[in-house]
Amino acid sequence: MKRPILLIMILPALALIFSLLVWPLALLFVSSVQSTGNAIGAAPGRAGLSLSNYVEILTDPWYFGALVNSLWLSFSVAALSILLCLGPAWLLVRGDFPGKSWIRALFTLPMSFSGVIVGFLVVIMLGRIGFIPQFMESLTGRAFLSGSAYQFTGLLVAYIYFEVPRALLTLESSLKKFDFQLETAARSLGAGRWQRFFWVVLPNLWPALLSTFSLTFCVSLGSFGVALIISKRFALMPVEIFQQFTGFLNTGLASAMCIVLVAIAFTVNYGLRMLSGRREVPSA
Amino acid sequence: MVVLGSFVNTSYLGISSEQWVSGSEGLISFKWFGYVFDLYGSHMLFSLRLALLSVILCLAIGVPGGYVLACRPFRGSRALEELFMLPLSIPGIAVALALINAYSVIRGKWWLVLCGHLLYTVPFMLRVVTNTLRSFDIQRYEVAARSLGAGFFKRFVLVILPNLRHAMIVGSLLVFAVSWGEFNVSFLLNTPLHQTYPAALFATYTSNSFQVSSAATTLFLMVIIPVLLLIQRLGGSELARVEQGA
Repeated sequence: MKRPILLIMILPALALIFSLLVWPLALLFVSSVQSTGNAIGAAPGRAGLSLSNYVEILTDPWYFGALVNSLWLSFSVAALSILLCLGPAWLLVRGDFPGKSWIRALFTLPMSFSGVIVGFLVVIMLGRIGFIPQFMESLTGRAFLSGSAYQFTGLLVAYIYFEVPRALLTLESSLKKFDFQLETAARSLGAGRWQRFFWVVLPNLWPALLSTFSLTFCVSLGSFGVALIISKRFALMPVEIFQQFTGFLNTGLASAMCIVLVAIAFTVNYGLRMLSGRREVPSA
Repeated sequence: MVVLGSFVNTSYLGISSEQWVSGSEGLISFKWFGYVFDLYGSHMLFSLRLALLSVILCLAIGVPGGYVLACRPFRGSRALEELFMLPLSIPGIAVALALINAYSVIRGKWWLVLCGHLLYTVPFMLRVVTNTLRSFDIQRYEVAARSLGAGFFKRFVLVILPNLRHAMIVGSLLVFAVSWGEFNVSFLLNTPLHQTYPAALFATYTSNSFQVSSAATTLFLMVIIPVLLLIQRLGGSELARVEQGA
């Protein structure tokens, strides 16, 4: 008796995900394996199947460079934001100090600033006549860091800026679940500070670290707004896709790039999840 | 640890002080704000309308769907839940391209932008709802109501929904914030006549004076910061598991 009603209740969500995600992605894959860059909206199946688009991504130094840049940037952003947030997350869970809720609010504020905003803010701070270079100039007479917004540093800062809230919140929630009695037990057995950290805390936190990593990695990989604003000399995958699609009307190549990105994001997300699932301590 | 924490804190404060830099540009004279309203007021209204529609549709889609997933699990419901969360880890530009590719017929209709927004906002609503429903023993409430003779609809409306009120408020705020700030998907889906406000911001960054873009950014922040603070206040750290894409 309940079944039909339940089905009706979940049907909108199902329809949404299948019509707007699964089906379009399948079509995108189809258009990526067609040998000619067919115009958007043209009947599929006109050209033969080929992997030329994928081969082009892997062999063309510029495209391959963009792919490597994207991966490298996402990797360093994910690793750095975890390193940066581990301490504050620890403080937020264990410490008790005035203004704690305000500090958390401040940290998590940029969570849904869109990338373009973050890009703009970084340009203001680190652009050619940015806030920090001018401050440096007034201090030392030389404009340090001038224009660094447009280089790898600027990208790194911008990406970390909007990854910090995500990393902090996920780490905080998993630290909350951490059983601190374990640490006390280790201490009573005579383990030193670092010994406790490396042999007790870290193994228990490992799944949380992996899931935080995969989250920040995937978000950085797909982030588009920041890169559009500040990656002037630095090729990044999302910007390349945008240019291929709108500038060169090369839909086939753009689709192939999208599929590559989706595949990487998917693999990282589920690969790390499985890895962390296997190591998860039942009590944690 | 303390040193590291305070270091991040100060560097963070340094970065976020940009907001005040950009704000002070507008505070000296408010004429740029008027200029932004004149030029981009329609974008702002479009974004607001989009965000409100997203909230309504997410409530309609996410609340019943979340209830089924959390309270009436069936075979493959876990996998389905994963599938619903999938958009959050997929690059927005790939989704935008896929949508354009699949629905080229209706490209240029404003509700294609809405479709893109829904893909990225429904997961939040779903997750807030399922988290809440799993956090307490809702089955007992239902059994009790049933034993008193309440039918399914009566139970859903009088027992489940009141318990979900907090989740629905937090979820709506989240959905609003995400939709208001969404750029990755909407930028490619935008039509010349209907552009979201972040896309307008992008236009000011690339082709307008610094004062105008600062004023526009300040207006953007003025909408989103109260919403985010409210989310923080209401949702606290339960939001941790409701992570999201940029």
